[in-house]
Amino acid sequence: MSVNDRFLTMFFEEARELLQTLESGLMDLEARQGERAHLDKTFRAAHSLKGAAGMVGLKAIGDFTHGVEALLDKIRAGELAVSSDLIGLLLAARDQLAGSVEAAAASQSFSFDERLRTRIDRRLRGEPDDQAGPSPSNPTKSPPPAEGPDSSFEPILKRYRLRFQPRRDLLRKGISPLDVLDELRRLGTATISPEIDQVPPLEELEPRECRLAWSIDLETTTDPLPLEEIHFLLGDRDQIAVKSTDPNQGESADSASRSISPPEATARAETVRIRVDAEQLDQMVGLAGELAVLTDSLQELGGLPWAGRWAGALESLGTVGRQLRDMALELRMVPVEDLFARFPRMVRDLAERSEKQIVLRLEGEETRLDRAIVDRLAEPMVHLIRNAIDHGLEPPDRREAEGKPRAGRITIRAGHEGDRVSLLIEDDGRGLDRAKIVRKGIAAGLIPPETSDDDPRAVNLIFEPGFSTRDSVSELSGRGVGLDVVRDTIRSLRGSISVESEKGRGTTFRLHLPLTLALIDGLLIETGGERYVIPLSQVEECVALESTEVAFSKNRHCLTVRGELIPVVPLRKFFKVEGPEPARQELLLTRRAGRRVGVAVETLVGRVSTVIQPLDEDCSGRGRFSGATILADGSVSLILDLAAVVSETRRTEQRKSAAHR
Amino acid sequence: MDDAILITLSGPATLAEAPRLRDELRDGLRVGRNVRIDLEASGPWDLIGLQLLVATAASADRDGTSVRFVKVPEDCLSIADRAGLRLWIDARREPTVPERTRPETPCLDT
Repeated sequence: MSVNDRFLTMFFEEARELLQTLESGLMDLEARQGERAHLDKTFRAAHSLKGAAGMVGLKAIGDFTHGVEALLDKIRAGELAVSSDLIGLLLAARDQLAGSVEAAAASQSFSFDERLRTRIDRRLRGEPDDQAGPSPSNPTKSPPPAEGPDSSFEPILKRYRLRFQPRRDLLRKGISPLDVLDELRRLGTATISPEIDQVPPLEELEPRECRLAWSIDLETTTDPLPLEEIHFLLGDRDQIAVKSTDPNQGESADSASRSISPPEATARAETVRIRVDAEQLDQMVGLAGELAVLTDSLQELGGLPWAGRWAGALESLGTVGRQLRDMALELRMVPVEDLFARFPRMVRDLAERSEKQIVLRLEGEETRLDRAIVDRLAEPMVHLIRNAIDHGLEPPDRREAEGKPRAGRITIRAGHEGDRVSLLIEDDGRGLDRAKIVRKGIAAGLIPPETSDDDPRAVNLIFEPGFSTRDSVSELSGRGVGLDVVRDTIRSLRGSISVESEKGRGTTFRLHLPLTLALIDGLLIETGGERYVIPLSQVEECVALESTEVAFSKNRHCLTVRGELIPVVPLRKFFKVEGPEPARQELLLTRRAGRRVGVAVETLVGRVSTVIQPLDEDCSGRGRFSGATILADGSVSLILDLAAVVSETRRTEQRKSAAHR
Repeated sequence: MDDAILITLSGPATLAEAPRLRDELRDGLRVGRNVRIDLEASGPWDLIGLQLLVATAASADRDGTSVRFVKVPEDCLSIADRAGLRLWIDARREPTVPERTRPETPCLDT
């Protein structure tokens, strides 16, 4: 990857984050009009994006961002009132920018919406926006936001002394220190003093190295000093040192001694973060897991008579191995905040489109979850929220007529429940229409005709493929596609989903998920001389097979467990193991489409807790196995996906029965 | 050694050309104690080009040689502005003399 490509890649990552900050900032702008810090943060996101785009040569993005930045600056100055229309305009502009960034990332061309640009220009000139909705009832200019509790706004002038010592190879990497100096000038009033004595005489000069350094006295009202953009440009934080100085006391010896240089301040105030390649991180987690297993397996050596002085080292090695594995696993965890951040905008847009009023509450955003789970949760959660808006929440007039607040409420809450994370999506809408679900379920042959409306299994029909109670298809949902996919996705994450609903009171979907996909709590089983790990989350119960009664139903091998007829998948048959069946087997009870299914295994070896290693894409039988793991004795075992085993068996049975007809 | 010498720099004063320019400037300084560097034909400029002028001045100061920059192009001055080196370069350049015009013959009332 060339230097330019690397900077572009960094830019795209940075731009996506800045656009997210910009969006969430804009979403809260109306509610937090008085908060100067919030407005500053939102403004800085636009400002940083503009600067970063300019630095990587994406001028069109920089120019368009300039309009957004200028509008936010006018709000900061109290020259422009925050209104729903203005936020709508800024959000539309933000979407254009997001589109342009993604287009640039895909090396595609992008044309900015010129009408939008014109609307922004009109707003900047103080002219009315002819495409905006009705004017707010009080269209007067908003007062400038307050810094804190005191509503009178007076910018506080901060004074910083910076020292910029570029790396000697900076120019050879295509980065100009002049851009950094320009950026510092944009932050306020900068007095830039070059340190020419750093430049050696010609004979000692390596002519392509940058030997100049600068001292910069900067006066600014921006606090804290936003240097992210400059650090981004430079590729690290080490080339700029900052001292803050008290503007009232000047640089007395006392104040100087109290001043804090930024690296120290940063270390105290926040954790320095670096970007790492997700794939490399996963590889490291796998290796750390492998190391932990191997060091654990070495512990037995400590008990041998000759272990002597190595016994202590072995024990320490085991401890370090486990700590390394746990720390590596922790690195995969991210707060669900990243996932939740997209919902306010989505709900706002959908509310507007469906002409409903919606209050969205997000709780537990700090809850941490495996990055791989967070990445894959977005789609199912978006689906559930769309469902809540389209199927759940009633139009304002109807809610009012039913004695409810005009604005419907959607709550999304994350939290820990033991060693799992729960996610709840709750609405206070009309609730599921059980009678309709049962009627449609009977018509589709999914439930017996005698099923009553209050049968607890009825609500689970909404997770059946193609099931929808909607008579018409809306823009948002109702195509009968979705909740089965939602359930399958959650299951593939080794999670579960359930629904509770009360007519007229609302619906709650509960998702339970493991903290991480990298670690598995499993059952080690043996069949046909092979050992497999089965995720514990897929096993509801283990039953000794000798105590059960063999039966057949619809040509399927079934067993009666405590009076309940349960279809059984013999794992020996599944893997085509030959030879006589053992006298005693174990039955692992799992669930498919809401019904109990048993999987018969020969031997239950015990519980294991271990790190999952992904399988290669071209590994045969990949659908049956969700990964592999290294056991304490160093042997490799495949992780068997019970859901896949049951589904594959069911499909085979259906094919056979169709062939016989 | 001649006391006064004029070095004329031409072409880009940028990163790519820096080694060549460094050698030209170094060789020029070796042959004179009163060096003028004509920059009129030079450009474009970047920070590395400007840094070479700073290094030239450092060499000259160490050796007790006088260095003046002549006909500094706008491009170079613009870089100097951005780098905070405008005052430094102004102090070392010869003021550009406007083209001499014929003085008007005073009209005497007769």
